[in-house]
Amino acid sequence: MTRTRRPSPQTVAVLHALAGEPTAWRYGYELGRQAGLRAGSLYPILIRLCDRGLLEASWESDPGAGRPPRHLYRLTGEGQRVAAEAAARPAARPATVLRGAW
Amino acid sequence: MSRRGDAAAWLLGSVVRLLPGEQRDWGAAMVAELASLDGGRERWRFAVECAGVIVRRPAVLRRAVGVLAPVAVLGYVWWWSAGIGWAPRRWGVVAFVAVLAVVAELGLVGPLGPVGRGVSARVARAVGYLLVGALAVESAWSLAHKENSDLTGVPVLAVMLAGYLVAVLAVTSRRSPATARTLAIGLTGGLVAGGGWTALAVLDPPIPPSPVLAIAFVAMGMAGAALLDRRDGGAARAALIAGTTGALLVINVVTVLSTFGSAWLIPELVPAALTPADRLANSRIELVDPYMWVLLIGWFVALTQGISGRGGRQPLPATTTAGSP
Repeated sequence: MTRTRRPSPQTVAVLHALAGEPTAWRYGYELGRQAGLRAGSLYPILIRLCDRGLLEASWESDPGAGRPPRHLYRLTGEGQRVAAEAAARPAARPATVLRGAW
Repeated sequence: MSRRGDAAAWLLGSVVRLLPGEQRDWGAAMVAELASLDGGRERWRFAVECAGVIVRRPAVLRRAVGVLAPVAVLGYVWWWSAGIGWAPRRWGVVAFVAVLAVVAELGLVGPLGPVGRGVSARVARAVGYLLVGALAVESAWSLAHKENSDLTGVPVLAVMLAGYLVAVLAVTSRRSPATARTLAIGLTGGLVAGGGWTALAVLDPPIPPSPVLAIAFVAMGMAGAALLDRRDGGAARAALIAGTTGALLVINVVTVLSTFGSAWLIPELVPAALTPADRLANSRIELVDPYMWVLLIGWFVALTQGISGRGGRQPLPATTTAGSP
């Protein structure tokens, strides 16, 4: 049986940022700024959320001239449910209870 | 915005190449995000942090260890060979190992890699590495300790063992048309053939001075593998894998037993005029020579296997991001 672990504060921050506009596709850098996370913390969380099917990713269809298409992210239905659950939970005690995001 | 000469983009672009194919999209996502950023300091910070994320991925760490292993072996041989008194011999040994290290790298990051998914491909590749590696160690040791100025063994053994290694890597690579069943049957056929000959040589000593019986065993292993895999159209490929594996196993057994085997395993192959100790020592040396035929015939089988391992190459599946629409 898969044990569901309480998401880390960083993961909750990403879920919260994405849940703010659940239907909108978001850029990674912008998402990191909103969640207060740097790339070193953000991307492992995005990768893990994608691996767990909580996040869907797509490529920008119309990038600017001379620029590669960027990745866009938004929550899946399951991701929205988990985000809502995480938002409803009381704030957990820091550090000792929560595991790091990576 | 042009990024020519952009060191941050170069750094991240280089590190992204370490990601395995199925995770390459994430690297591309980071590179694209970097391209949208302005401001040197922020770009550098972003690139370094993303590079840190990539190099800490377990798949990247495993890949890095694999890529560095042949380099480390070559470095060790470079250091170890410093004790060889004659410079041409030393560089011959280093060149011999370098050739094999390059081929091994091709099986990790080049056209012969990465290893196919599934246990059969991994086991077949591991067995191949073990058999070729053991022969390479024995060959390097032998080349390093020769006392004459003959260096012809260096290119001959390099080409031989590189051919075997290419065959193993090609047939076990992700793009090889060989199925898991074909790999398993071929590998088993080769091991049974080589093991059968070994059992006979040990149980009914001494080791036959002629390679004919060993060749017959390998041929039977090939035929058995072809028969077992005939329904799935992999008969020829299974036979080739069995032939390559069987030949490698026989040669390994002969070299090990001729060097370390008890005296009762060694046939008398030199004139009786010598002392018993000299007869044994010289017979140990002479025993290996006829079995070079097994190595040579197996090499042609391996070449065919290497070509067939690449014959049906399919492009790697397009990389996708998990959860992508």
